Amino acid sequence: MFNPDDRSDLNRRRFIKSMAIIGGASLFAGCSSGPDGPGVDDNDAAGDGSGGTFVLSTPNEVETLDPRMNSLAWYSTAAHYLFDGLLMMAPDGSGTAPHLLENHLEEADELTYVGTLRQDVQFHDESELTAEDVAYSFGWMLDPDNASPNQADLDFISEVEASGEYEVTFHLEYPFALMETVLAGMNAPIVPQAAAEEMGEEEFGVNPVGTGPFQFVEAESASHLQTEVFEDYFLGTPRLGGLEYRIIPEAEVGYVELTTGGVHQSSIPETLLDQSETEDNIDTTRYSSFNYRGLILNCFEEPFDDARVREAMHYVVNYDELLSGSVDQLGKRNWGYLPQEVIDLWDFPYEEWEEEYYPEQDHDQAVSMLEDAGVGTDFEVDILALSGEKWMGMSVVLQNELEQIGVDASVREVGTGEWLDALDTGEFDVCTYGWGGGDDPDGYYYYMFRDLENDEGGMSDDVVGNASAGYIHQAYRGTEEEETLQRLDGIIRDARATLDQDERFDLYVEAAEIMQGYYPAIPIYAGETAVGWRTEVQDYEPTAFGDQEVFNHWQEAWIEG
Amino acid sequence: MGMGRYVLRRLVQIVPVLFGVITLTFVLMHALPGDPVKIYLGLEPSQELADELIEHYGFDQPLYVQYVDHLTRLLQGDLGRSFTHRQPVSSLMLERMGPTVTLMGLSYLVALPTAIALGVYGAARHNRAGDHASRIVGLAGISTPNFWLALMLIYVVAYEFQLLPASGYVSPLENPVQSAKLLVMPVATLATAQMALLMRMTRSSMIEELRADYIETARAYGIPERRVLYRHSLRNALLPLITIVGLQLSFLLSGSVIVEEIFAIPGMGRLFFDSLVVLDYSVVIGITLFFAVLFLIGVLLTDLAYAYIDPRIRYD
Repeated sequence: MFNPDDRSDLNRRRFIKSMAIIGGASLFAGCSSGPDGPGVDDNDAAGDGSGGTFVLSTPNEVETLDPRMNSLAWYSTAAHYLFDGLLMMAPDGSGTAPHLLENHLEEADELTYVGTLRQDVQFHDESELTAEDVAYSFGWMLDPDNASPNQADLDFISEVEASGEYEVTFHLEYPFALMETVLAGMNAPIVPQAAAEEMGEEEFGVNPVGTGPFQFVEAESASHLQTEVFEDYFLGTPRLGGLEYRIIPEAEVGYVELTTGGVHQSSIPETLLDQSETEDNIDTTRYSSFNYRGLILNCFEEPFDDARVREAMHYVVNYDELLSGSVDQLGKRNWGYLPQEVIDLWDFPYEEWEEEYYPEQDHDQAVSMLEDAGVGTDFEVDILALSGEKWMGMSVVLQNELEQIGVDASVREVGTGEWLDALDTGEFDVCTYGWGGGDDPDGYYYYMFRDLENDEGGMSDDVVGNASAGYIHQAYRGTEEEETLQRLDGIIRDARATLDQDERFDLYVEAAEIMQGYYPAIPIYAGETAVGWRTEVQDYEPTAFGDQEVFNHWQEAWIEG
Repeated sequence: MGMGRYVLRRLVQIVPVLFGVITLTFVLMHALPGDPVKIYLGLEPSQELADELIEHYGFDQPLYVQYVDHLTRLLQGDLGRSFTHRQPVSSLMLERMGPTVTLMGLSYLVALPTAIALGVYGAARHNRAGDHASRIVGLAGISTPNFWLALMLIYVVAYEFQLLPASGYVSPLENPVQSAKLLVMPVATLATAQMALLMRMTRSSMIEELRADYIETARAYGIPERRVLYRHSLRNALLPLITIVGLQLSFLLSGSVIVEEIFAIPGMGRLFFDSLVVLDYSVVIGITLFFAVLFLIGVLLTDLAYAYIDPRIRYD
């Protein structure tokens, strides 16, 4: 039952948080999509807070309730109930809707956007939301002295100005394709200036005040977080009387609580998926976790410094075996280092990529390619695996395949600290890797494949390169390949600053084809999440994108009986 | 030597032991691979946040400076701050102490009388059916890993028969009935192995005492068997048992880590485990220190109890 993999999977902390925030359909970023679903419309809610308390289980304890300082994925979801953003993501990920704003931001020029706030929004302390609160919230998070973990996601913003009592003006550092999806997430929460300044960071972290549909009651970091309905919520009073998050570290125990009525919602561990389908009192759903899992080939280390050897590795492996060796049901093949769902959303030509870059297993071909590269099979491979079943599974499958062609391979299982150190120092031949990037290719390509040397301030002296790219930029520095790789870096950076989706599509196709041609990694799968909820919860279905799902523009949950 | 002087001497002896515990824990924690800030922030960390954490918590200082700083703070009664929770270690520990102390205390309360009763019963019926049954119970208790027992209890009691809630914690002072329901399975899990070990100790110790000459003499004088058992042999048989009870505090700590994790109890065992995973040095050292003090006091009380039970033992 103990799953160290879950603990050490860093995507759980910051990266899935990014997914949760960038997790809207940024394909449509820049397009407006008003709330058009059934259920709640502005101030038209029939709720009176009598619909019961909705209890959810979550595995991690919360360290601060201040979303400006939070770096936990689950609290990014929970914080939506206490705080609001200027925009909100639609449950199907089809775009954002104005939330605290009356309408979408209007473009004054390429680097300036103006928005008008609703005038009927109150904070839980009964103070009124004004533009000053918005300017303060962004100013606080952008101030380096406050060291907000949200700062990196907001660095496209130069300043947010209160240009009127209810009017805010965004001055940008550069155009950013994902601006609206960031503003819809909890990397951009709006807090009351007066209360936040009076309380200070530490106090605000234990007594949060927002504008959300539920207000804070009490919390014990390792036990629970309890909220109650906020009757003056600007979308109307929710039907539910409150929300409670219970911290249950073990997913299997959370499942028992779900089936026995201790909680209304819990994730379902892979081992209990089949069992969950036989339970009458729960509904279940599965959705993409929008992440990437694979094995990095270290371009610094012989013989993987030779692209022919890296390509040969793709003939050594059987992708389906790698998938089944890593996960049972909660995972799918990925293409171009992107999950299938992102491929589908963008209609990327994955079948062409499969034909070109994902060959059928052919050991004879692999050996022949290794001989052509002048290395044969007389070499050793050190596979570094992050502790956990998934990582060990994929590593052992690769080890077995390598041994079948006569290559001596060994697997080293390490903890999170050692794994992170190895990624910085490059002390491995092959290494497991995971990243959560949301549903936009930027979430993968910018973070995994850009050249860190081209960042503002250059690459940190503490790292030898971008591990997720197999250090390809650094390994090919000064060679004739450098020009192509610099073009790749330029494409990745241009794509996030390009607002036209067709242009972005072309840029990402080009980036994917350049990157795949270098074979810096063996892409294995993208994970999925299974969630179950009690059948007595009405008008409710969790999705991969949904924010504030028990009460938002589209749905209003309540508990029967 | 009087008891007062003896206690004072033992308390003074605790100081170097605690110093050793702190030093060893500090060295071992820093010998673990990995950087706490990297582990906490993950891949692609915010450099500003990383720098702030490193500077604020002094991770950029040489190890000996960090060690001296830590010792100085401890001498002033300050256990430091947790860099993951961003609050004082002492307040974190206070928040988590209640569930752990309740869990451990109840485990003792369940394990000790059960173990003594079963041990005496087994010894009194040496090599008969009752003895074999108690030995089997003891062997099963010792051999059963507590994580497995916890999961089986949850599966059978909470899932199949739905007799008790699977997880959570409520203070007995807040809601005694709900608290009792929530504590039955964790206490049973933690107490089982403890009870089994104590029962085996009691049984073997009692068997030895029952073969002693003074017991034969007592029986020859026609003293009733019940009185022979409980008045004469049990009192002497308790000496080795008391030693084990004191030493079992450390066993309870390791057990509470697993039990608190599985039953979602917000106690110090879980805090210790979570802090160890992210290398939150101050919390790990703070909790280690707390349990070291608890353990040393337990050993001291054990020694004092020897003299109470056996007047031949003197404080020197």
